[in-house]
Amino acid sequence: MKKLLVLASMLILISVGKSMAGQADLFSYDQVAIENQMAQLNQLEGYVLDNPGITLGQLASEGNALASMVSDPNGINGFNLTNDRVFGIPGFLWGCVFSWVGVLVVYLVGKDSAETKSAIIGCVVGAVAYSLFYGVYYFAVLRIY
Amino acid sequence: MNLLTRSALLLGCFLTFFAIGSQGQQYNRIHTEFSVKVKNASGGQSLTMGQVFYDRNNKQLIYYVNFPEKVIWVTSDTLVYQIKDDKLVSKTATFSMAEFTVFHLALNSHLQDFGLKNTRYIATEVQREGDLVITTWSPPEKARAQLGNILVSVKKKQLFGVIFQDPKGMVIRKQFFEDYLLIRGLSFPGKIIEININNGIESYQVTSYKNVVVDEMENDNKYYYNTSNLHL
Repeated sequence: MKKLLVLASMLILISVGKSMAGQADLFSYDQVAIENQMAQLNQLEGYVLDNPGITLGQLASEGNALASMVSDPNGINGFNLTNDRVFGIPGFLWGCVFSWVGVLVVYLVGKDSAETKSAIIGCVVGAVAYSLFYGVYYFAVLRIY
Repeated sequence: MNLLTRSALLLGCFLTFFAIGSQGQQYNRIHTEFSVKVKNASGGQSLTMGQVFYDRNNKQLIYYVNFPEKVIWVTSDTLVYQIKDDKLVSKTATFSMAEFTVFHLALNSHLQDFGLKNTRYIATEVQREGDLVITTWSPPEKARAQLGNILVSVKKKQLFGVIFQDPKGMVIRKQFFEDYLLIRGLSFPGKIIEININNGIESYQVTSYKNVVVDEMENDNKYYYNTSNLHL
């Protein structure tokens, strides 16, 4: 019986350890691969930094080969599943400006589901309401004490 | 003034300073140069560069884009304005909220939980693995058919990575926060790597920040854009 209990405990610990290891494994990426993917854009970025004020239009009109590195001057982005801007706003604004809210909106709205839009609206409105409640509670209640 | 009154005043002062100190330092405004490089799965790529200004009291996030073209993006309340040559080009209603931007979160020292603590998401699991503390945030019950979990990892008290899952648990996006800068005591990521996964195919976005300025007294006019006079 004791041996059975010890064996069962070991099996549980191993399975828990495996599930924990799985989560940490998610937080990794191929740095070299991404550097390679960004090589041309890094080159273009360097040129723009060396030539302040230059625009893509000027590069194109000068016949600069760097201009061809940009596929869509109006902001092709990797986060818009329908190849259009979400609500007319470029993808980079959603991703890096609006944090997780923006990510969820782009992902879900891109599927053109009325239900998912409603879910997001509900979730976000709820978040705002909660934040407002928290703010009022903090200032009106905690501050008094 | 008798001894009792003096003691009460002294105690009141002490409690006030303690309360202020215990809230943690908060900052009001941030300004930085940025560049955003995007490479999508089909090989298309884009580069966006400029400066961004944010004052958490104004709640306006203003992007002064220089490349590929000179344009200003202003997020104010739930609207995003696109302005070219001082003329309004577009005005779009969004779900945007300044409180959920990385700038606001950093200024309020809430970057570690990605702002999720003040939402309806619930922290359902916390694990430590090596030097990572991983918190799993689950959406409210009613939204679980549409929204998946968000895993937030912290390393050395700094936000390290964020994993977004779909309702079935598949990873749809990863974000990594690197090259932290320390400006007047404020910790801010100098680089954010984003990997978007759609049907197993990856797209990438690398956002870099440099020359970060916190709580500057100059450039007041850059932190607020009067949108009341803008008309299409």
